[in-house]
Amino acid sequence: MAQGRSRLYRVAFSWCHDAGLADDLVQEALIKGLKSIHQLKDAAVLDAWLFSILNNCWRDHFRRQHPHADIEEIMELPTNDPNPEETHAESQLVGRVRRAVAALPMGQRQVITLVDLAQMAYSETAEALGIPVGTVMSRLSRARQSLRELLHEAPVPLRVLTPKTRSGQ
Amino acid sequence: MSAPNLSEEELNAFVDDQLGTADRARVLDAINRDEALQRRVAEIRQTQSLLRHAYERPPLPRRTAATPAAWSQKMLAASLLISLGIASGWMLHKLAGNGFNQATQTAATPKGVVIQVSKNDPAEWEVALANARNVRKAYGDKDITVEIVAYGPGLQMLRNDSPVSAGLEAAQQDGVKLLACGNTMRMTHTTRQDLNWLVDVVPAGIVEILQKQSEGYAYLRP
Repeated sequence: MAQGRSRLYRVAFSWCHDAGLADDLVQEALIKGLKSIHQLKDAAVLDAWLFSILNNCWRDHFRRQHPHADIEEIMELPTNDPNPEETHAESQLVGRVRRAVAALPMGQRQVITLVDLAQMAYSETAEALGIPVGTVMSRLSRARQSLRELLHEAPVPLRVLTPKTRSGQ
Repeated sequence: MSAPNLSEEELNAFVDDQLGTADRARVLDAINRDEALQRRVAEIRQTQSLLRHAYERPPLPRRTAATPAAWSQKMLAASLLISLGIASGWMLHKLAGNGFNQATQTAATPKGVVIQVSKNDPAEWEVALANARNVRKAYGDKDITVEIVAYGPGLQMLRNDSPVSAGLEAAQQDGVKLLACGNTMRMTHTTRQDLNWLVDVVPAGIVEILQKQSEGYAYLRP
Protein backbone atom coordinates (compact mmCIF):
# COMPACT_ATOMS: atom_id res chain seq x y z
CA MET A 1 0.00 0.00 0.00
CA ALA A 2 1.25 3.42 -0.83
CA GLN A 3 2.11 5.89 1.86
CA GLY A 4 -0.72 8.29 2.60
CA ARG A 5 0.40 11.72 1.60
CA SER A 6 2.38 10.55 -1.37
CA ARG A 7 -0.62 8.57 -2.55
CA LEU A 8 -2.80 11.68 -2.48
CA TYR A 9 -0.02 13.67 -4.08
CA ARG A 10 0.45 11.15 -6.87
CA VAL A 11 -3.24 11.31 -7.74
CA ALA A 12 -3.40 15.10 -7.46
CA PHE A 13 -0.38 15.35 -9.74
CA SER A 14 -1.99 13.03 -12.28
CA TRP A 15 -5.01 15.33 -12.33
CA CYS A 16 -3.23 18.63 -12.79
CA HIS A 17 0.34 17.74 -13.85
CA ASP A 18 1.67 20.63 -11.84
CA ALA A 19 3.83 19.68 -8.87
CA GLY A 20 3.30 22.91 -6.93
CA LEU A 21 -0.43 22.90 -7.48
CA ALA A 22 -0.71 19.20 -6.60
CA ASP A 23 1.11 19.84 -3.34
CA ASP A 24 -1.19 22.76 -2.52
CA LEU A 25 -4.29 20.70 -3.29
CA VAL A 26 -3.17 17.85 -1.06
CA GLN A 27 -2.38 20.28 1.72
CA GLU A 28 -5.73 21.98 1.38
CA ALA A 29 -7.56 18.63 1.30
CA LEU A 30 -5.81 17.43 4.44
CA ILE A 31 -6.61 20.59 6.33
CA LYS A 32 -10.24 20.48 5.26
CA GLY A 33 -10.32 16.84 6.24
CA LEU A 34 -9.01 17.58 9.69
CA LYS A 35 -11.58 20.30 10.20
CA SER A 36 -14.45 18.05 9.18
CA ILE A 37 -13.25 14.76 10.66
CA HIS A 38 -16.32 14.75 12.92
CA GLN A 39 -18.50 14.38 9.83
CA LEU A 40 -16.89 11.09 8.99
CA LYS A 41 -19.38 8.49 10.14
CA ASP A 42 -17.78 5.34 8.91
CA ALA A 43 -14.05 4.80 9.15
CA ALA A 44 -14.25 2.15 6.44
CA VAL A 45 -14.82 4.85 3.83
CA LEU A 46 -11.83 6.99 4.86
CA ASP A 47 -10.12 6.66 1.52
CA ALA A 48 -13.12 7.62 -0.55
CA TRP A 49 -13.83 10.45 1.86
CA LEU A 50 -10.36 11.91 1.65
CA PHE A 51 -10.22 11.63 -2.13
CA SER A 52 -13.64 13.26 -2.38
CA ILE A 53 -12.26 16.22 -0.43
CA LEU A 54 -9.28 16.32 -2.77
CA ASN A 55 -11.70 16.23 -5.70
CA ASN A 56 -13.63 19.18 -4.26
CA CYS A 57 -10.44 21.17 -3.78
CA TRP A 58 -9.42 20.44 -7.34
CA ARG A 59 -12.82 21.43 -8.68
CA ASP A 60 -12.84 24.64 -6.67
CA HIS A 61 -9.43 25.49 -8.00
CA PHE A 62 -10.49 24.65 -11.51
CA ARG A 63 -13.60 26.78 -11.35
CA ARG A 64 -11.56 29.73 -10.19
CA GLN A 65 -9.25 29.29 -13.15
CA HIS A 66 -11.84 28.39 -15.76
CA PRO A 67 -15.24 29.68 -14.64
CA HIS A 68 -17.00 28.64 -17.83
CA ALA A 69 -15.44 25.29 -18.61
CA ASP A 70 -17.09 21.92 -18.10
CA ILE A 71 -14.70 20.12 -15.83
CA GLU A 72 -15.79 16.65 -16.91
CA GLU A 73 -14.84 17.33 -20.47
CA ILE A 74 -11.85 19.59 -20.07
CA MET A 75 -8.49 18.47 -21.35
CA GLU A 76 -5.46 20.16 -19.98
CA LEU A 77 -1.90 19.98 -20.99
CA PRO A 78 0.93 19.69 -18.52
CA THR A 79 2.05 23.19 -17.67
CA ASN A 80 5.08 22.44 -15.58
CA ASP A 81 8.49 22.90 -17.09
CA PRO A 82 9.95 19.97 -18.90
CA ASN A 83 11.59 17.60 -16.52
CA PRO A 84 15.36 17.53 -17.16
CA GLU A 85 15.20 13.77 -16.67
CA GLU A 86 13.10 13.48 -19.79
CA THR A 87 16.22 13.32 -21.87
CA HIS A 88 16.47 9.68 -20.85
CA ALA A 89 14.56 7.18 -22.92
CA GLU A 90 12.94 5.78 -19.80
CA SER A 91 11.66 9.20 -18.84
CA GLN A 92 10.49 9.86 -22.36
CA LEU A 93 8.09 6.99 -21.94
CA VAL A 94 6.96 8.42 -18.62
CA GLY A 95 6.45 11.79 -20.28
CA ARG A 96 4.45 10.27 -23.09
CA VAL A 97 2.14 8.47 -20.73
CA ARG A 98 1.63 11.59 -18.63
CA ARG A 99 0.81 13.66 -21.70
CA ALA A 100 -1.64 11.00 -22.81
CA VAL A 101 -3.28 11.11 -19.38
CA ALA A 102 -3.39 14.90 -19.53
CA ALA A 103 -5.18 14.63 -22.85
CA LEU A 104 -8.01 12.58 -21.36
CA PRO A 105 -11.20 14.44 -20.45
CA MET A 106 -11.10 15.23 -16.74
CA GLY A 107 -13.99 12.90 -15.90
CA GLN A 108 -12.11 9.95 -17.39
CA ARG A 109 -8.76 11.07 -16.03
CA GLN A 110 -10.01 11.16 -12.47
CA VAL A 111 -11.58 7.73 -12.69
CA ILE A 112 -8.59 5.98 -14.24
CA THR A 113 -6.13 7.53 -11.80
CA LEU A 114 -8.22 6.67 -8.75
CA VAL A 115 -8.60 3.09 -9.92
CA ASP A 116 -5.08 2.50 -11.21
CA LEU A 117 -2.92 4.81 -9.10
CA ALA A 118 -4.84 4.99 -5.83
CA GLN A 119 -6.00 1.38 -6.41
CA MET A 120 -9.48 2.11 -5.19
CA ALA A 121 -12.48 -0.14 -5.74
CA TYR A 122 -15.09 1.04 -8.24
CA SER A 123 -17.51 1.72 -5.41
CA GLU A 124 -14.94 3.87 -3.58
CA THR A 125 -14.11 5.73 -6.77
CA ALA A 126 -17.81 6.37 -7.34
CA GLU A 127 -18.15 7.68 -3.82
CA ALA A 128 -15.06 9.88 -4.05
CA LEU A 129 -16.24 11.50 -7.28
CA GLY A 130 -19.95 11.53 -6.46
CA ILE A 131 -20.92 9.58 -9.57
CA PRO A 132 -22.70 6.23 -10.07
CA VAL A 133 -20.63 3.03 -10.31
CA GLY A 134 -21.92 2.54 -13.86
CA THR A 135 -20.36 5.87 -14.83
CA VAL A 136 -17.09 4.82 -13.21
CA MET A 137 -17.11 1.69 -15.35
CA SER A 138 -17.91 3.40 -18.62
CA ARG A 139 -15.42 6.22 -18.04
CA LEU A 140 -12.71 3.79 -17.03
CA SER A 141 -13.30 1.67 -20.07
CA ARG A 142 -13.17 4.69 -22.37
CA ALA A 143 -10.15 6.14 -20.59
CA ARG A 144 -8.12 2.97 -21.02
CA GLN A 145 -9.16 2.70 -24.63
CA SER A 146 -8.16 6.31 -25.36
CA LEU A 147 -4.92 5.96 -23.46
CA ARG A 148 -4.01 2.93 -25.50
CA GLU A 149 -4.77 4.77 -28.73
CA LEU A 150 -2.90 7.88 -27.64
CA LEU A 151 0.13 5.84 -26.73
CA HIS A 152 0.14 4.09 -30.06
CA GLU A 153 0.28 7.38 -31.89
CA ALA A 154 3.63 8.88 -32.77
CA PRO A 155 5.15 10.74 -29.82
CA VAL A 156 4.63 14.47 -29.85
CA PRO A 157 7.53 16.65 -28.75
CA LEU A 158 6.89 18.02 -25.30
CA ARG A 159 7.54 21.65 -26.12
CA VAL A 160 4.86 21.74 -28.75
CA LEU A 161 2.38 20.65 -26.15
CA THR A 162 3.59 22.93 -23.41
CA PRO A 163 1.69 26.20 -23.53
CA LYS A 164 3.79 27.91 -20.88
CA THR A 165 7.38 28.61 -21.71
CA ARG A 166 9.90 30.32 -19.52
CA SER A 167 9.94 34.07 -19.67
CA GLY A 168 12.56 35.38 -22.04
CA GLN A 169 12.12 32.51 -24.46
CA MET B 1 -15.15 -17.39 -31.21
CA SER B 2 -16.53 -14.11 -30.03
CA ALA B 3 -18.39 -13.55 -26.79
CA PRO B 4 -21.36 -11.35 -27.64
CA ASN B 5 -22.48 -10.87 -24.03
CA LEU B 6 -19.19 -9.57 -22.75
CA SER B 7 -18.93 -5.79 -22.54
CA GLU B 8 -15.75 -3.75 -22.48
CA GLU B 9 -16.75 -2.61 -18.99
CA GLU B 10 -16.98 -6.18 -17.78
CA LEU B 11 -13.57 -6.98 -19.19
CA ASN B 12 -12.10 -4.01 -17.33
CA ALA B 13 -13.92 -4.98 -14.15
CA PHE B 14 -12.48 -8.47 -14.50
CA VAL B 15 -8.94 -7.09 -14.71
CA ASP B 16 -9.62 -4.88 -11.69
CA ASP B 17 -11.10 -7.76 -9.73
CA GLN B 18 -14.37 -5.90 -9.31
CA LEU B 19 -16.77 -8.63 -10.39
CA GLY B 20 -18.88 -10.84 -8.18
CA THR B 21 -18.08 -14.54 -8.06
CA ALA B 22 -20.66 -15.59 -10.65
CA ASP B 23 -19.77 -12.84 -13.14
CA ARG B 24 -16.11 -13.47 -12.63
CA ALA B 25 -16.49 -17.14 -13.48
CA ARG B 26 -18.55 -16.32 -16.56
CA VAL B 27 -16.06 -13.73 -17.82
CA LEU B 28 -13.09 -15.96 -17.08
CA ASP B 29 -14.72 -18.77 -19.01
CA ALA B 30 -15.31 -16.50 -21.99
CA ILE B 31 -11.70 -15.27 -21.87
CA ASN B 32 -10.37 -18.80 -21.70
CA ARG B 33 -12.18 -19.67 -24.88
CA ASP B 34 -11.35 -16.57 -26.90
CA GLU B 35 -7.91 -15.44 -27.95
CA ALA B 36 -9.06 -11.98 -28.92
CA LEU B 37 -10.37 -11.45 -25.39
CA GLN B 38 -7.09 -12.70 -23.98
CA ARG B 39 -5.28 -10.07 -26.01
CA ARG B 40 -7.68 -7.41 -24.80
CA VAL B 41 -7.08 -8.38 -21.17
CA ALA B 42 -3.33 -8.25 -21.77
CA GLU B 43 -3.72 -4.79 -23.34
CA ILE B 44 -5.71 -3.50 -20.39
CA ARG B 45 -3.08 -4.82 -18.00
CA GLN B 46 -0.33 -3.25 -20.06
CA THR B 47 -2.05 0.14 -20.09
CA GLN B 48 -2.53 -0.15 -16.36
CA SER B 49 1.10 -0.91 -15.65
CA LEU B 50 2.29 1.87 -17.97
CA LEU B 51 0.09 4.31 -16.10
CA ARG B 52 1.35 3.16 -12.71
CA HIS B 53 4.91 3.35 -13.91
CA ALA B 54 4.42 6.89 -15.23
CA TYR B 55 3.34 8.18 -11.83
CA GLU B 56 5.50 6.07 -9.62
CA ARG B 57 7.80 8.99 -8.97
CA PRO B 58 6.00 12.24 -9.68
CA PRO B 59 8.19 15.35 -9.59
CA LEU B 60 8.39 16.91 -6.17
CA PRO B 61 7.11 20.44 -5.68
CA ARG B 62 9.70 23.15 -5.47
CA ARG B 63 8.84 24.83 -2.24
CA THR B 64 9.79 28.26 -1.17
CA ALA B 65 10.90 28.61 2.44
CA ALA B 66 7.87 27.83 4.52
CA THR B 67 6.51 30.47 6.85
CA PRO B 68 5.86 29.33 10.41
CA ALA B 69 2.14 29.38 9.68
CA ALA B 70 2.53 27.23 6.61
CA TRP B 71 4.71 24.90 8.57
CA SER B 72 2.19 24.43 11.32
CA GLN B 73 -0.47 23.78 8.70
CA LYS B 74 1.78 21.14 7.31
CA MET B 75 2.09 19.52 10.70
CA LEU B 76 -1.66 19.67 11.12
CA ALA B 77 -2.17 18.03 7.78
CA ALA B 78 0.41 15.38 8.53
CA SER B 79 -1.30 14.53 11.78
CA LEU B 80 -4.59 14.13 10.01
CA LEU B 81 -3.09 11.84 7.48
CA ILE B 82 -1.48 9.70 10.06
CA SER B 83 -4.53 9.54 12.22
CA LEU B 84 -6.77 8.75 9.31
CA GLY B 85 -4.92 5.63 8.69
CA ILE B 86 -4.00 5.90 5.13
CA ALA B 87 -0.38 6.23 6.04
CA SER B 88 0.47 2.64 5.69
CA GLY B 89 2.36 -0.46 5.89
CA TRP B 90 5.76 0.83 5.02
CA MET B 91 6.17 2.50 8.36
CA LEU B 92 5.28 -0.69 10.05
CA HIS B 93 7.68 -2.67 7.96
CA LYS B 94 10.39 -0.23 8.82
CA LEU B 95 9.66 -0.53 12.49
CA ALA B 96 9.38 -4.27 12.33
CA GLY B 97 12.42 -5.11 10.32
CA ASN B 98 15.94 -3.88 9.81
CA GLY B 99 14.70 -0.47 8.83
CA PHE B 100 13.82 0.13 12.43
CA ASN B 101 16.88 2.21 13.25
CA GLN B 102 16.59 4.11 10.04
CA ALA B 103 13.03 5.05 10.88
CA THR B 104 13.88 6.18 14.35
CA GLN B 105 16.92 8.15 13.32
CA THR B 106 14.94 10.44 11.10
CA ALA B 107 12.18 11.02 13.64
CA ALA B 108 12.28 11.64 17.34
CA THR B 109 11.38 8.66 19.50
CA PRO B 110 7.61 8.65 19.61
CA LYS B 111 5.84 8.85 22.90
CA GLY B 112 4.00 5.76 21.94
CA VAL B 113 2.78 3.74 19.03
CA VAL B 114 -0.84 3.21 18.11
CA ILE B 115 -1.63 0.38 15.73
CA GLN B 116 -4.86 0.27 13.80
CA VAL B 117 -6.68 -2.99 13.13
CA SER B 118 -9.78 -2.44 11.02
CA LYS B 119 -9.99 -5.58 8.91
CA ASN B 120 -11.37 -8.99 9.69
CA ASP B 121 -8.15 -10.66 8.63
CA PRO B 122 -6.34 -12.99 11.07
CA ALA B 123 -3.14 -12.79 9.02
CA GLU B 124 -3.14 -9.04 9.51
CA TRP B 125 -3.85 -9.45 13.22
CA GLU B 126 -0.79 -11.67 13.54
CA VAL B 127 1.30 -8.98 11.89
CA ALA B 128 -0.17 -6.30 14.16
CA LEU B 129 0.59 -8.37 17.26
CA ALA B 130 4.08 -9.31 16.14
CA ASN B 131 4.85 -5.69 15.37
CA ALA B 132 3.42 -4.39 18.61
CA ARG B 133 5.63 -6.79 20.54
CA ASN B 134 8.65 -5.99 18.39
CA VAL B 135 8.23 -2.29 19.05
CA ARG B 136 8.01 -2.93 22.78
CA LYS B 137 11.15 -5.04 22.65
CA ALA B 138 13.04 -2.71 20.35
CA TYR B 139 12.59 0.24 22.64
CA GLY B 140 13.52 -1.95 25.60
CA ASP B 141 13.84 0.09 28.73
CA LYS B 142 12.31 3.22 27.25
CA ASP B 143 8.82 3.71 28.54
CA ILE B 144 6.93 3.62 25.31
CA THR B 145 3.22 2.85 25.16
CA VAL B 146 2.13 0.51 22.44
CA GLU B 147 -1.55 0.02 21.81
CA ILE B 148 -3.62 -1.84 19.29
CA VAL B 149 -6.96 -0.23 18.49
CA ALA B 150 -9.46 -2.57 16.83
CA TYR B 151 -12.58 -1.21 15.21
CA GLY B 152 -15.05 -2.06 12.46
CA PRO B 153 -14.51 -5.56 11.09
CA GLY B 154 -11.19 -5.58 12.96
CA LEU B 155 -13.01 -5.89 16.26
CA GLN B 156 -13.26 -9.64 15.61
CA MET B 157 -9.60 -9.80 16.58
CA LEU B 158 -10.41 -9.11 20.21
CA ARG B 159 -13.29 -11.52 20.62
CA ASN B 160 -13.20 -14.48 22.98
CA ASP B 161 -13.22 -16.87 20.07
CA SER B 162 -10.48 -15.02 18.17
CA PRO B 163 -7.97 -17.31 16.45
CA VAL B 164 -5.18 -15.10 17.80
CA SER B 165 -6.19 -15.31 21.48
CA ALA B 166 -2.81 -16.72 22.48
CA GLY B 167 -1.10 -13.87 20.65
CA LEU B 168 -3.28 -11.34 22.45
CA GLU B 169 -2.20 -12.73 25.79
CA ALA B 170 1.47 -12.78 24.84
CA ALA B 171 1.27 -9.20 23.61
CA GLN B 172 -0.50 -8.07 26.73
CA GLN B 173 2.23 -9.77 28.78
CA ASP B 174 4.75 -7.67 26.88
CA GLY B 175 2.85 -4.55 27.86
CA VAL B 176 0.84 -3.99 24.71
CA LYS B 177 -2.56 -2.40 25.34
CA LEU B 178 -5.51 -3.92 23.53
CA LEU B 179 -8.35 -1.49 22.89
CA ALA B 180 -11.77 -2.16 21.43
CA CYS B 181 -13.94 0.46 19.76
CA GLY B 182 -17.09 1.08 21.79
CA ASN B 183 -18.99 2.36 18.76
CA THR B 184 -18.32 -0.82 16.83
CA MET B 185 -19.38 -2.88 19.85
CA ARG B 186 -22.65 -1.01 20.05
CA MET B 187 -23.33 -1.30 16.35
CA THR B 188 -22.54 -5.01 16.25
CA HIS B 189 -24.27 -5.76 19.57
CA THR B 190 -21.01 -6.98 21.02
CA THR B 191 -20.83 -6.98 24.82
CA ARG B 192 -17.79 -6.77 27.04
CA GLN B 193 -18.27 -10.47 27.78
CA ASP B 194 -17.87 -11.30 24.10
CA LEU B 195 -14.38 -9.86 24.16
CA ASN B 196 -11.14 -11.24 25.53
CA TRP B 197 -10.86 -10.30 29.20
CA LEU B 198 -7.55 -8.50 28.59
CA VAL B 199 -9.21 -5.95 26.36
CA ASP B 200 -10.08 -2.39 27.37
CA VAL B 201 -12.88 -0.47 25.69
CA VAL B 202 -12.51 3.07 24.33
CA PRO B 203 -15.54 5.13 23.25
CA ALA B 204 -14.51 5.33 19.58
CA GLY B 205 -11.56 3.66 17.89
CA ILE B 206 -10.91 6.34 15.32
CA VAL B 207 -11.04 9.09 17.92
CA GLU B 208 -8.60 7.17 20.08
CA ILE B 209 -6.19 6.94 17.16
CA LEU B 210 -6.61 10.63 16.42
CA GLN B 211 -6.14 11.56 20.04
CA LYS B 212 -3.02 9.49 20.52
CA GLN B 213 -1.60 10.90 17.35
CA SER B 214 -2.10 14.43 18.58
CA GLU B 215 -0.27 13.44 21.75
CA GLY B 216 2.76 12.46 19.71
CA TYR B 217 2.20 8.76 19.15
CA ALA B 218 3.37 7.17 15.95
CA TYR B 219 0.61 5.61 13.95
CA LEU B 220 0.99 2.24 12.28
CA ARG B 221 -1.18 0.00 10.22
CA PRO B 222 -0.23 -3.55 9.29
